Amino acid sequence: MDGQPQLHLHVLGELTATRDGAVVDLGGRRQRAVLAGLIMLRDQVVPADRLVDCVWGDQPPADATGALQAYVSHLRRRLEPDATARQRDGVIARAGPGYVLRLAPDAVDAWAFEAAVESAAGQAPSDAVCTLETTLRLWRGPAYADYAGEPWAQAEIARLTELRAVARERLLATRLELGEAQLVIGELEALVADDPLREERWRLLTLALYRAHRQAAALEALRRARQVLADELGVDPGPALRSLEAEVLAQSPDLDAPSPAKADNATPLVPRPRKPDGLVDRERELAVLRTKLEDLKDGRGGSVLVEGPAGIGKTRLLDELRKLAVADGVLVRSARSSALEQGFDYGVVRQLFDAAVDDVVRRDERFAVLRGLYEITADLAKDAPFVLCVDDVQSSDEASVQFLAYLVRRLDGLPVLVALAVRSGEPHDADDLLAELAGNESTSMLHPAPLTEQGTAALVADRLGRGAEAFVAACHRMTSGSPLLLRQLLRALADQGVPPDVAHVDTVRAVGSRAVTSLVTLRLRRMPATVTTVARAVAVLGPVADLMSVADLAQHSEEDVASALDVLARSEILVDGHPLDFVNPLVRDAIHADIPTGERALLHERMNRRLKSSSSRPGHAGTPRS
Amino acid sequence: MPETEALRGLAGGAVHLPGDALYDEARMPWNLQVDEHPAAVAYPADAEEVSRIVLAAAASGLRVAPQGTGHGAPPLAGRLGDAVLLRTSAMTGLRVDAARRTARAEAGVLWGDVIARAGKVDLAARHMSSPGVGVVGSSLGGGVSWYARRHGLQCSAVTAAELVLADGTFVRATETQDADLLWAARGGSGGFGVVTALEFDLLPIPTVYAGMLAWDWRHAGRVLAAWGEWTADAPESVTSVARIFQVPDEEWMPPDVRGRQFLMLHAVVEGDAEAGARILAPLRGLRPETDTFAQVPAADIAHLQLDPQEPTAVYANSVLVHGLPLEAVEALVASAGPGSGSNLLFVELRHLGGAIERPAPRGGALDHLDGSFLVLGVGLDVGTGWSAVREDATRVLESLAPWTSSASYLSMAYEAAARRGRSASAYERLHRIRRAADPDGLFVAPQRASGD
Repeated sequence: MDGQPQLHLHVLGELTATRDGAVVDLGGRRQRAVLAGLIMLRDQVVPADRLVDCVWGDQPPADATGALQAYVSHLRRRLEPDATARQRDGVIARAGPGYVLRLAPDAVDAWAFEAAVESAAGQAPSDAVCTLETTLRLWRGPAYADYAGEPWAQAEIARLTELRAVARERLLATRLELGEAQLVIGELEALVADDPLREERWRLLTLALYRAHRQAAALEALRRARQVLADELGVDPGPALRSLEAEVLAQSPDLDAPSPAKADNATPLVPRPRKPDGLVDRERELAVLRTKLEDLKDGRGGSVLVEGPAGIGKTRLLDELRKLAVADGVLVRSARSSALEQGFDYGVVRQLFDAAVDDVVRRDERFAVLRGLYEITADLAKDAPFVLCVDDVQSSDEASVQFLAYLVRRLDGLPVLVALAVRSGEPHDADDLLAELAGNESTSMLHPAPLTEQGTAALVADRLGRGAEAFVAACHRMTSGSPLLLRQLLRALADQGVPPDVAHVDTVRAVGSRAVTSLVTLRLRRMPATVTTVARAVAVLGPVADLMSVADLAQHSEEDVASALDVLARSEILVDGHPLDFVNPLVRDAIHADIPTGERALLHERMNRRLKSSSSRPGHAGTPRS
Repeated sequence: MPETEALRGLAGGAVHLPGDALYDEARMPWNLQVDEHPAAVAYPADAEEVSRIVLAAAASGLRVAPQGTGHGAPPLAGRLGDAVLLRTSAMTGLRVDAARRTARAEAGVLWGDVIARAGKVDLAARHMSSPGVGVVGSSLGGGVSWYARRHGLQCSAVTAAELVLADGTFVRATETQDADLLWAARGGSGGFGVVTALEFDLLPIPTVYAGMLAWDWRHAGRVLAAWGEWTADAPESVTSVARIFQVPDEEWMPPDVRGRQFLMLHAVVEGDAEAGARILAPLRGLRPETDTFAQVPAADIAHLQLDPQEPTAVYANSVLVHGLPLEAVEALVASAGPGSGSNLLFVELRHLGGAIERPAPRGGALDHLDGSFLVLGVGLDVGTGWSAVREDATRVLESLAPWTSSASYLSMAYEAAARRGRSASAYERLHRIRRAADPDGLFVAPQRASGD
């Protein structure tokens, strides 16, 4: 089920390629030059004679076209070894007078780099730092290192080098904005030494020194800048440096950091969480999601499949995508499949499109329904591009899965981004859909990895304060890097006020060696009875739960239910916001399974009565589970 | 052992059997000198889970050995092969009632947790010198705190005990209900059930005058002699401890003391700085090289002594002595001081007397300690092997034989016979209670008793 091999080309350094992580032998220098020539022009058609120029320069052989064809054919075999000769035009396609590269935007490191630097410009500072730090790590050496002296490569090498210089400056400028003046001085010194003629670097260094209360050093930096510029170029500093000098001398308040280093000075030992809301170790995944969203805004549809075991953070990534989309003004339609609804045809489709599809799904013939749904999707996309998010695809009803498979095959030219999350390691009906996605070149596959120990440390610090090494190590070991289990563990420890010191390592062992499910029920058992009852009502109601129905089922006042829901959201048992849902299906299942038999029968009885008396939507009638 | 499989899935999955990934980590107590292989290790999180484990163990023919942090693990050595080690670390519930000046601590709560929580409302607990020690285990065994000379043993401050008995039933023992079990919980160590929580009184002490005086150990004889004399008249508001301390050349020690040998005096005085300074003046007159005394929040004395917090392999043994005359000081310094050849980490003399020596009005199985000093020898394995450490400690403690009490403080005298821990009548009553609560001997008592 792992799908299409992931082909990655690297040009930020020497030209290399990997296929599913394994290095691909691209052949000799000339053969690789063909690929380099294609990558430089991205998705444009590269005329054959330009490629000939890349390979042989001024001295092409007699049958240059034939030799070029041979190189292309060799490259195709290396890049697509599984395809038959006839089909090997998936990556290097023939187009008019030349060739064109057909690769996803994130398949080439230089492309992904460029996209990330662009997207960082529009991000909040803390996000931008994370984006830039991640993307700068793509560099393994000078761009197109093996063609550094070639005239045809000069322009692109210069462009990428400049882009990197800007990215490094922006990263440090942003960190400076976040109040990290003292921390960036060393790196700025290195940047200045790297290229002393870039005035922006002197400006940042001066600013950092000034904000670190080193005014003399700040003025000295300006003096050095003036000297270098005079010696090397015979010019005076530009207006930016000149006005900075005046402001430093005047101790202008404009020089102060935007938010005067509040977190920095007060708690110098707590590491800055890489994301303000505790998302760690997901930089790569976020970069891919941003790229997909950029494509969508440019009118290109596509699909993303997030696959991984329960609790690894798939839902969280879809949430991030939703947040990014909303921030960009892109519409999102979301659905979450649920085992409770699996028996109802088009349950997921209804969640996505609401009443708009009521007529279509009543059609007799399956194919007519699919076509009708596709037309609705296409019509909606005509108004504005949008994102379709479906979580827990493994629990989707079969009919909805069929539609999603139908749709992802027809995304070409349709400004719709289909983002799906599926739990691995469980049998389900969505295999065909997944195969379809995996085989689709516009699909990005994300497999979020378990948290690292550093990521664990950041979340421990976030929740309990800076943790002793042994404490963090125990948290990491107990949770095997599962973000869900770690969050539940940290919540449980925080509830009990457990400090993250060496003496409490055994507490981590004791609490952490429980499974997610028992951890959740344990925490719930320690909460007030009203809260427990409300959580159980939400679990029984499933996707139809809302304030009124929960109040009805739990037989408490709406005020009491509202405050209980608040407690549950703050305890990270329910998600914060609407609709009412558990942070993870595992949590819901745990609470459902923990309801005493008698109480469960009573709740289901009340729910059935409620459903009969109300005229709720036909597809949404939940089935009582036993 | 197939019968242990019946335990799987209990305690929300926090049960570790031999061969499981976490078994080795879970079976190790704080005192790493103990290397036992119990039949299973379980981490129940509440009384209900404890009860299920107790019943499953009994049904499988296994015994049950409750353990908190494992600071007091040494007497369990060799007795856990057929037992489920029931570790209480997941039971972390702690409530401090500021108005009633009481606390309820579940069995996984550490003294550091109580000190911090009580300190916020200007209350203090009769806590042990190391904040990483568990509340329940140390309270069941007695508990000599910095406030002991005025306020008695921690076990006598216990007002209620919640426990699971051998038949899986849960009881809350108070003065009026199951009073026998409360009596047993007040210093009876264990062997009558799994104590899941204790309620105990706190003290309205917001600040204390506390600190340390230190001399090079060349001065041990002179200072100990003066201190011994001073203790005879010291008021009950002050509790002091003398240590001959050979600071290891290890990273976990502060750099300025690393690798040196000291005579240290730690003391806590209840009251204001003026009174404290007056009381301590004779000791400060002995020209210490270090003097850290100051008026501090009571919670700050949690780390007064430099005890390691992380799991450590240590050997410890103790005796109770009556008085500290000059001859006793000379004998002690000769066996533990400069030139003695002793490699012990420290030899500690804890001044008792006062309320500790008088039977407590609400006393239980242990209501006083019969001695005016508790002398404790503690050693690390410095490469000479544990038998050498034990010999060092034995030599030091035996040098005080002429002044040694016939009684022992069992929580720190791991090799003493259980009968020496309490009066004959208390010993008999405790046995009766154990037999009634646990007729089949399901529970492994913290100390080996006759027939155990």
